[in-house]
Amino acid sequence: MTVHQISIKVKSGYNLISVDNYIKMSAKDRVGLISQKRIQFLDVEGNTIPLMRAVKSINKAKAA
Amino acid sequence: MKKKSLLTTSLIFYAVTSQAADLPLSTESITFSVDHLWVLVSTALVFFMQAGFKAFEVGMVRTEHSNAVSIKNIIDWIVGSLIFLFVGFGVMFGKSHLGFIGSDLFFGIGIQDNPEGSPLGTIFFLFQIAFATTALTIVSGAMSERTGFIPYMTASAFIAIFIYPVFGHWVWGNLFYENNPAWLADLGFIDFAGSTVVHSIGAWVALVGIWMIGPRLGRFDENGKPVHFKSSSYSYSVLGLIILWLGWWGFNGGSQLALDKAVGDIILNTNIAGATAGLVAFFHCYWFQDRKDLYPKLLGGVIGGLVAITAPCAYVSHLDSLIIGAIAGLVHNYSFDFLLHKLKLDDPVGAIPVHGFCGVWGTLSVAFFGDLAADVSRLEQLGIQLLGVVVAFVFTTSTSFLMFALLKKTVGLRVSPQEEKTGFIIGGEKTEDENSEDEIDGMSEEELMKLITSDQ
Repeated sequence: MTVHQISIKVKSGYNLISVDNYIKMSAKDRVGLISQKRIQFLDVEGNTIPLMRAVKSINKAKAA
Repeated sequence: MKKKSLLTTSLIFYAVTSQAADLPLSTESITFSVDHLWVLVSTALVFFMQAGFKAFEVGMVRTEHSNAVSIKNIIDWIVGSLIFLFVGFGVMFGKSHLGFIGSDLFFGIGIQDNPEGSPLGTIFFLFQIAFATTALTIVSGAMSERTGFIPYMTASAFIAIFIYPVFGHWVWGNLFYENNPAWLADLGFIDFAGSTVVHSIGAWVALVGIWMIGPRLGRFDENGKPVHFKSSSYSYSVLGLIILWLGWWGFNGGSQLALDKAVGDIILNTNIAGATAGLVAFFHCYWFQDRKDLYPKLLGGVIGGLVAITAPCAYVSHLDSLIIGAIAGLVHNYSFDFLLHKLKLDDPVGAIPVHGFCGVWGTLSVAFFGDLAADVSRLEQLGIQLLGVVVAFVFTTSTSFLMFALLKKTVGLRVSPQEEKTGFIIGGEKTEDENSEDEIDGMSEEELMKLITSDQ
């Protein structure tokens, strides 16, 4: 399962961002989103990908 | 007994004749009442279009989202009609400040029996409420299935308070106060019943909205190709379309603001354009576009024709209406594919091709086919029409961009991925987010930092 898009909770609603925009965020912000449980990694159909697997997949893609 | 009968008859005769003498029987008074009645009937027809939009949109979206779409439509009317009463009407039709914005008639004060204002008074106001809420409903359809309730309602309110009435003032600001300056109208811009003022304005807000909010989850595959989403019921959409079509008789016919001999021609032109556009859209898709999205294109084509004829319907012949409708059918089909396949924008009900692109075509068609004033050439009129279309686009997209950007930053634009997939109920119990609590529970921030910055 490849991460295709990312859902971020903002107050009562959510925004959808691309993986590229997620990577452009500072590491501190990303940690904040994960620790506050405000982030969901989604595949192309919108299914949730488990966090560990998603983060590893993004890191791998970044390194490649 | 005979005496009593004679006395009673005499009294009745006296009562009837004396009453009749008090009645305003002049031709002017009778015409005045008929005009009131016609605009009131038209108002009811335009209000009934809300039911048409609801049925059309519910049929086009996926089954699990039909309730949310319906509720949003009714709330559009509630919010739109109140806000337009309090603020919007005054901004649009009040005494003009430099031709840019209205400055009185707020809270409905001064609308009825205003010696300087429209003799239609409150009936004119009701007619305009129905128009304003039409623009709002266009936005709800395009953004359906993934937009959150709070951002949607905030956007609706902002459109009713600011975007629609301000642009409307520039074009129709002289409809209530005849001497009001309205800078686009004063330049000669013609939009009889609102191809641009109502339809394109709604569509351009929706365009910015769907661009900023993104497509429905799973709408495009990994290669960016659209994935087919099953509409809940085309039968329901057809019912909605027929209601809309009927409503359009009031939308265009009522915009004459009088029941005179032009009304029949206006309604006939409306009908011709809608029918021709539907026919052309259907066969064009059938023969030249591999029958892709055939039903949405047929239904959208009809509405596209109705939208296109809205600006020129009072100034063109029946044959012209046929041509305008035929071209609208093509404009609809090409813009439908352009948005979906080239721009990758997801508009579940096809509102933008219909109301945006066909609205532009209809507004420009005034210059090609309209019965123009003797001192204006067709080229000059085309320039003026083009200016109006560009101003509408720039004003609407820039203001709505700021509005959606602010909403995105502060409250978020979408519902959760889970609500989007299973369908959401406005005001209902919130679906639990799927997250990976167990996986990160107990991890410190340092460990998380290490995790996300690791190369593997």
